[in-house]
Amino acid sequence: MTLTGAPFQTTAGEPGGTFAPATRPEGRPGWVVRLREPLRLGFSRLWPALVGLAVLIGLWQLIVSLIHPNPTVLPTPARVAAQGWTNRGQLWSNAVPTIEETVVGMACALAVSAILATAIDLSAIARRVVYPLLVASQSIPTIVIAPLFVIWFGFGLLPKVLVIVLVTFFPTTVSLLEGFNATEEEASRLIRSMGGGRLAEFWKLRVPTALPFFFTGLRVAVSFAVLAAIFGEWVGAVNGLGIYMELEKNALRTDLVFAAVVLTALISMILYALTFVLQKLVMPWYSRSRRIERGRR
Amino acid sequence: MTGDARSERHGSSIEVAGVTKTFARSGASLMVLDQISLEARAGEFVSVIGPSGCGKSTMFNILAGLETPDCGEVRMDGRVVTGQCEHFAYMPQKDLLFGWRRVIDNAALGLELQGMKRSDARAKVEPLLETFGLSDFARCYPFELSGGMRQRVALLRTVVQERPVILLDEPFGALDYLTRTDLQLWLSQMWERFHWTVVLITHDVPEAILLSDRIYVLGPRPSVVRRCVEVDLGRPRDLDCLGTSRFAELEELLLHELRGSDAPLVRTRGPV
Repeated sequence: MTLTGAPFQTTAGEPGGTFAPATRPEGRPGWVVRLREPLRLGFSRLWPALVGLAVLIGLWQLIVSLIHPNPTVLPTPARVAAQGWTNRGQLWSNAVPTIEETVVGMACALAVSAILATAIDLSAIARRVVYPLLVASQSIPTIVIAPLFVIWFGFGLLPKVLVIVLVTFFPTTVSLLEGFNATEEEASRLIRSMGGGRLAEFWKLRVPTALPFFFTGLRVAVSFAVLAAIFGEWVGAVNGLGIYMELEKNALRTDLVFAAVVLTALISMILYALTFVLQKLVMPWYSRSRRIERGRR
Repeated sequence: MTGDARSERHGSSIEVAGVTKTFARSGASLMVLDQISLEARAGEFVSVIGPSGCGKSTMFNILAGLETPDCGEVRMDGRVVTGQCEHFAYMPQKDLLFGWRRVIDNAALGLELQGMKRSDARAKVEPLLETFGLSDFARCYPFELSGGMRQRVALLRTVVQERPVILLDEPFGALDYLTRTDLQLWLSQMWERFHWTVVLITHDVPEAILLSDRIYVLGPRPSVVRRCVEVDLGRPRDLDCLGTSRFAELEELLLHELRGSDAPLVRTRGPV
């Protein structure tokens, strides 16, 4: 082996194998390419769940047609579907405010948890002052406080947003804090040795380290958020799926209550799926690296 | 070693003079370093070897300005720089590449932290990628690279900062034998080309011999410099160098020095 050749030869017989650089198909923007794979995976993983759901609905239909309960007690799935379709305009006009509340509420909750987690991470005093209050806030019974919000703030958007924030900011804050703490001490030292200050360390190291944790928390929070919106409406609202369900229940339209429940579940699932899309856009490196690491093990 | 090569050497000389460090652990005080003195002249490759737990890492942290010694000082070109980290570029054992940064941005991290704009930092790293055998991988994420390539990115990240002294802390310790040997030969070649001032900390004796101009052997805790060995092998060094009788002699000498508690302690060699 001679070492005199001026241009250095790359990786002479390096074990372990290397991966060819990722190439991008012509004419497609990066985000389309990044999303194609999770969508394909999503569909291929969805069909067993759909089969399971179909079996459940079939059983429900079978039981109801065997024991013939009063449709105000338990309607058939077919009736729920038919009545839901007939009243689709009404259902949709009540779904829109619920979705709006959920999205606004989540956005506020994320802002609150980002501020809290950053403050707690950067300052020991904030940790000692805020962290116990944070935990205490979770023992506030939502069932008691939500009607008070209605009394204080009326029937508009604000009381629902407050309920959602109260319910969802905790999982996102805690997951962010866990994520910040997962930062490797050696990596922090490296940043410091390179002349980086605390701010640089925070943005270039702690935040990216925390992102996977954050998305786990976000998924927990999103499923709570829809529920919180429904609950916020249930205690008092002009429109929305929560108040719609209550009104239809009082009118003994159990079929429409079920239809609204199905719609709520759909909204939840779509929001949940959106967290994966968002994750793919924010952390394009993450899922691929996880797969390769699993493959190596 | 021919004198001609010296003229084009970069970097600064670095000197550790009488450094002592004691840690307090659960009440008891533990002396880790006892009057350590060593030096690397400008453009010299110097290694420090010692048994595990001998305080190599502590010395390294003191050199890198991450810890302060109880007494003694670190001097660069004669100037006291104890506790200052801005003169040293440091490469730890773990590559510590950031999974969310592409190869080029990982390599440019140090420059960005010094306040350079990302585009400027990239522009500065770009021409070096080929030298480091990474030009095809600039846009890859670290998980797409093999262990050897990751370590080369880490070295590029270290040297591109153009700091006067480069500190390497067992940089190839986590790699398999073949990759490690490959990278040692490669590093030797890179050093021939750039003549950085390097302090390498390792417990790999052949690695130290292959790469260094001089090797300091530390004893077990509390560490003193047991011996300083000049490596009088010619350069450039390649795989054949490992088979020479001089290499074997040096290896035996160093191993004896590292292992032998029966061997007499050689007095600390003061700075020249």
